[in-house]
Amino acid sequence: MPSILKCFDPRSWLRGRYFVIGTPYLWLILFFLVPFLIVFKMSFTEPVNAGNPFGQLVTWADGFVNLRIKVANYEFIAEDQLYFLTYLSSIRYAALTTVFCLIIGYPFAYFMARAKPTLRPTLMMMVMLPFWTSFLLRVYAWKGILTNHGLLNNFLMSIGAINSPIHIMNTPVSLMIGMVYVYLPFMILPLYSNLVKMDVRFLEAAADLGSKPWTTFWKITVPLSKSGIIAGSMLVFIPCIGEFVVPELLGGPQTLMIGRVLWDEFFSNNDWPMAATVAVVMLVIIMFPLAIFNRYQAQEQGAKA
Amino acid sequence: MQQAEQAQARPRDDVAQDFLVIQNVVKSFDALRAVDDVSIAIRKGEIFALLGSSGCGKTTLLRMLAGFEVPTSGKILLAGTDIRTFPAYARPINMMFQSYALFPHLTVWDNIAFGLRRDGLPKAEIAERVDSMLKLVQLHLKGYGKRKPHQLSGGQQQRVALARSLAKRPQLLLLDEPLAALDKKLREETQLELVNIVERVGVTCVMVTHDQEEAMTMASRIAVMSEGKLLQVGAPDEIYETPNCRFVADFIGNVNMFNGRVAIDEPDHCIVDTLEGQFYVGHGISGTKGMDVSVGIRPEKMRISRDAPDGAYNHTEGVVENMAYLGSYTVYHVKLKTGRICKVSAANTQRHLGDRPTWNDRVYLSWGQSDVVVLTR
Repeated sequence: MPSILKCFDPRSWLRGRYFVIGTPYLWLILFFLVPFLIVFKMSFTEPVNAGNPFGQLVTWADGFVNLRIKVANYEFIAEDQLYFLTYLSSIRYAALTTVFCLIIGYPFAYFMARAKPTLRPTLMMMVMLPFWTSFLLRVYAWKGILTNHGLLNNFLMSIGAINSPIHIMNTPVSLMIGMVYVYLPFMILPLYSNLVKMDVRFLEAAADLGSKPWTTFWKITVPLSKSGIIAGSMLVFIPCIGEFVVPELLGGPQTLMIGRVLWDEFFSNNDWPMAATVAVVMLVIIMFPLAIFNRYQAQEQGAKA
Repeated sequence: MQQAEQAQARPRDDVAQDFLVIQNVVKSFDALRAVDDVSIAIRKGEIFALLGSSGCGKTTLLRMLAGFEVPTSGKILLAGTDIRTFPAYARPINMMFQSYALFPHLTVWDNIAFGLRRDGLPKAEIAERVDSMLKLVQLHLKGYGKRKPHQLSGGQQQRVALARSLAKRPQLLLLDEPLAALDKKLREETQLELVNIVERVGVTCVMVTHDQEEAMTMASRIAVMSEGKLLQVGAPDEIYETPNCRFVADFIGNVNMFNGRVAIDEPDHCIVDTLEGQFYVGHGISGTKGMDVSVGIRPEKMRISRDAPDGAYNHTEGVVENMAYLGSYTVYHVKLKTGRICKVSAANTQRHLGDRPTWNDRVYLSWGQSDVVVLTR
């Protein structure tokens, strides 16, 4: 039987292969695609108060089927500069976080991968260790460090480096510190797994051909770890765009991010359709880097085949 | 191929002729002595093979020449300069790696140009040299230069690796198991082609291999290593015909080894008593009477016959227990009176061989007085 037909044969569905492949797809369809379609639909409806935060697309009245698609939300987002600027600032913060994570994470992953094999599991553990405590707790802890009378300012004042506290909390600086801190492991892990697999013979071959260590790093190590760099950057960049908790706790009035706007539309304005519109546009923005990532991966696969 | 001269294990006094001198080099990894007091002198323009089974230290020695390992003690002199502590990138030495280590993200052309670019040569010269290298290894057609390494066959990758290691015109070329990644037929074709290219370029070459046939085909001299120690250095025929110890005799080719004791030792001959009879050897040995020695005879040096040979020495008898027809020759496994098996090979020089011994025949084995090697260690 051709394999295409086999897919429709209920007897084979439960057999290993299709079951294994099918389960995550089913999961994603149920808990990602369906909710997304609901949100997508919601973005074209009108807000209705009194218990029902959004209206219906299709109504039935007096023998008419009414289809009302409201595109005003999208128009509004396109016209209102505030949304545009917020998206832009979200992308900027996400990009900055990615860059800082890369600058800090690459050497980190590099030395982890070049450490003695017996030491590597310990180093790996230390990267994972923060995950053992609550995310919220860790972000709160930064509050304690960064406030005007927090650990950092007290320390700097006690050694006489500064006379009055530096205002860090609720500024772009505190936001960046928090974001980089939270997302650093997501950069390190894919980079590490890429670098640890790299064949040291390439580095020896480069040295043999007269390449000094620093040149070898830029000409061989970095290009060969490109897929790790891209994977790590995606893992940081994409969730950063929609990040809500860190900007909420460590950000300030200057650091408007789209996650915050989303929250406000949902819970302050109670305008679910508008919130849904904001979410849909955000998803479209995220699709771009994802598409680039996918294309690159496909190329890599093609090159290996 | 170059005519091999008198070989020696130690550097000679007239160092001028010796291009690469390895002097008492030791490399220890913790308690293990991977390379144990090795001294070799390699002449300009020769192809020199380090031969041994895995773990014998040959690769470690090669890596010390390349600069990837620093000797624990000893000297490595290249054209008179001690390069022992030079970093790999500062040595006028290039290596062709086992399974090539071609940079997967660079094209063939850029792989070959990599070393030239590090030297900061002008663009035009780089282009000229890369093109001439591609021509040298016959990959200058069909746009091979623009391909990535994974788009090439194993044989083509091997040639790119050779071109890359020759592009900088190194004073010394290192080959690490140069043909191990190729299949048998291609390997045989490539052996002589590789020698031709290396000799045309005129570069001094040190290769590492575990394949004795490869070493004997390609190298003008061979160093046999075992457990970090250098056992013998010599031309292929010397190593084969006059091994200096049991290990070398056994490692290179097949040998029938008999243990015995020196009965008579005269300047022009000696006689060794063994369980299989008395061996008359046509030269004296630097030993004493009563000394324990081994005598070795190569299978092809033995004659097999149904007729009893004359004389008191240099023959024994047995029964053909097994025989293997291998095309160009036949190998007989003859069970001697003492119960041990002796291998004898007979060349099949004619299509129809008449009355040859066969299974279960009673046969006599005989050999000439100069066909035996006496080994004291």
